[in-house]
Amino acid sequence: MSRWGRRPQLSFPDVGSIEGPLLEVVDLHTSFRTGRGLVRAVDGVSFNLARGHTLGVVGESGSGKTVLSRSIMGLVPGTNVERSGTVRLSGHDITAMSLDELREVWGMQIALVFQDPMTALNPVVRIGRQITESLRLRAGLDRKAAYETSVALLKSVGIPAPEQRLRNYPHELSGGMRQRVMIAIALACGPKLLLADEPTTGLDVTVQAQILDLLAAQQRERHMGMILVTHDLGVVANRTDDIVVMYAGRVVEQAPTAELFARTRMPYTEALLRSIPRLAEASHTRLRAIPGRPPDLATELKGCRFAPRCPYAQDHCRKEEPPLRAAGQGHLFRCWYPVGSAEGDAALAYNVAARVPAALAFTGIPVRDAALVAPNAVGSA
Amino acid sequence: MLRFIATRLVQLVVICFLISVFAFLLVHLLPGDPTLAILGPNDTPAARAVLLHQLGLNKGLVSQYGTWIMNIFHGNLGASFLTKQTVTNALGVAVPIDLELVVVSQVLALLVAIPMALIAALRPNRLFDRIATTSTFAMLSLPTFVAGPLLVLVFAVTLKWVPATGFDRLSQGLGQNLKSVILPSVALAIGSVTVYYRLLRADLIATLQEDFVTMARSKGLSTRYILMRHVMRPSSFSLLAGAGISIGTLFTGAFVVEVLFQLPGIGYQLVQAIYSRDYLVVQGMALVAAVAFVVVNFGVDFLLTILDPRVRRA
Repeated sequence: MSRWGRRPQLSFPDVGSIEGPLLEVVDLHTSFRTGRGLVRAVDGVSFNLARGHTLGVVGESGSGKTVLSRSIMGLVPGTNVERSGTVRLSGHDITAMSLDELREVWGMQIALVFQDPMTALNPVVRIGRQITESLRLRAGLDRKAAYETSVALLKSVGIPAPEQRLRNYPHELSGGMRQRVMIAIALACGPKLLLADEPTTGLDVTVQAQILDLLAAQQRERHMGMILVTHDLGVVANRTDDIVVMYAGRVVEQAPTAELFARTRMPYTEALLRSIPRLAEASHTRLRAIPGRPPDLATELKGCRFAPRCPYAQDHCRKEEPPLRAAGQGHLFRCWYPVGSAEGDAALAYNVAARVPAALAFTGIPVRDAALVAPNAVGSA
Repeated sequence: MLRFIATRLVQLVVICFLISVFAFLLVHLLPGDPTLAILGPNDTPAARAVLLHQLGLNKGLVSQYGTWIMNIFHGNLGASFLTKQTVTNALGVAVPIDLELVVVSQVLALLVAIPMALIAALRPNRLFDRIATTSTFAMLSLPTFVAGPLLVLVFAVTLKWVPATGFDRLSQGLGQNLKSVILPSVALAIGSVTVYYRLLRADLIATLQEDFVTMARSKGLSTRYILMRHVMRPSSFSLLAGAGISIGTLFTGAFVVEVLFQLPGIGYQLVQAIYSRDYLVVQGMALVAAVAFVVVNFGVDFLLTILDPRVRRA
């Protein structure tokens, strides 16, 4: 019994002994009731994650990836949140749990690494207490054991002179050090699943790689499942087993990492890949940005959500949303005119001929020429 | 840290010097002739000139200030023209009253405001928050000269729980003493509760939306622990600064309450001295009140540097 309220006792069986995936997410929906209507931030997402595997969740800002990682934990704050669907951790449905039961899962089974360590660490609390508090209150260690564990943790995430760092406040450390501290905090109670929400976005490029390597090393060592949320396909390319691409709250493509890069089917994924700048290109080459922005999730959306920005889009796309279709082992995509298919090539050629701006931008023809020509009604390919 | 305190101490000394100059000049800026007030309008000009000389008021301002400040360092603030009571004696009566009024009223105000703000901030815009925000606003618009007599009417006249006026010293027993200050303290606390509640509620709501609170939740810590160990401290800066100003102002600002309850505190004696042009009393009381204000706020600044490690570098 702790001074700070009852510590819930929930027996979680040893995860290693259980068959089946570590995490199963089935038809997860998370919406926010706002003044403008219901915003569907996560809209029917399903996937599995095996023990010791890494899943990359990729999408641009506003695609729902951060809300997804929070709602997997059941950690979306506020009274205006609606969540449905099932999240099973080692077979336990954590969406059905009470707050006391969830507290037993948080930190101990699932831990979160935040995007910005400056705001996610309490500025007026020493690093030491921010690490030891969960060790003492949750793992039940005594003062001395908690201190020794936190020194070992800081050492394991590559922080020199950990004894001194424990006495520091967050503002006294550099950005990379703060992110290492955050990872140490997340790892403190030995979680089985690590959710890393854009863990490198606030950091210098050189530090980014170090942090990603650290996460990968810790994950291998502890045989954790990890979900790596990012907007950067380059980040997940060599570090994940599977990738889920999200757009406007939906999964639009999902595949094992090598398969996704080798046989991209979804035009959105293709556009994301093309938007990564390449070293081989001459400097000052124009970046291949995706024109437009994701749709307003508060409005009723008809048809494929990417259609307004898609170089392949036809009337069919604007009328009817494609279902998630299978293409080979574990490869799912949501498109009527997939990349690399005969229909897809025809649709793109048709759009270029019809001087549709998105298609011209995609092929590299300057869009200002296209603006002179009003896009005609484009028929179904 | 030590450097920071040293800098602030030097500032404190400079400010206290400036205050003493202003307190000294204040009386010379007031219209009217002190000799007229002491001797009455019917005395001869010769007698007034003699008095002026006796009081040292015929000398230059700088020399007058020098004499005054040197006497203060010797614990001598002069004496009242009217009552012949020394200012030091008058302060000996006034200061304990004000100290007790300030301490009791502010403790009461914080005891009410902090739990209210915590409950309201946890569920903003829900029932409790709406009731608390509206009722504290009503309290703010209730002036002390209305709240005071109302309290006297209910608790002293009707219920006869406490005396209506007067001050019983601590030497007359703690119960007796508290009974005599509780009504004026409540009257003073009413205004402070609103300010403290609003400052703390706003900061708490802002802090609760910080990432580090979500982070603490994601560690599986209990709501109570998070509130006490993660949220309260970074939410208390505005409250503390507000309390500093509020407490400092109360040393003289309790005037209305002191008159209502017949408590000879600093404000009460100061106003009486101004009316009777008892200029040494005015100077002494104003000096003590202003120095108290500055010292209280120095203390608050010091507490802020302890609460917020980021300030220490500044």
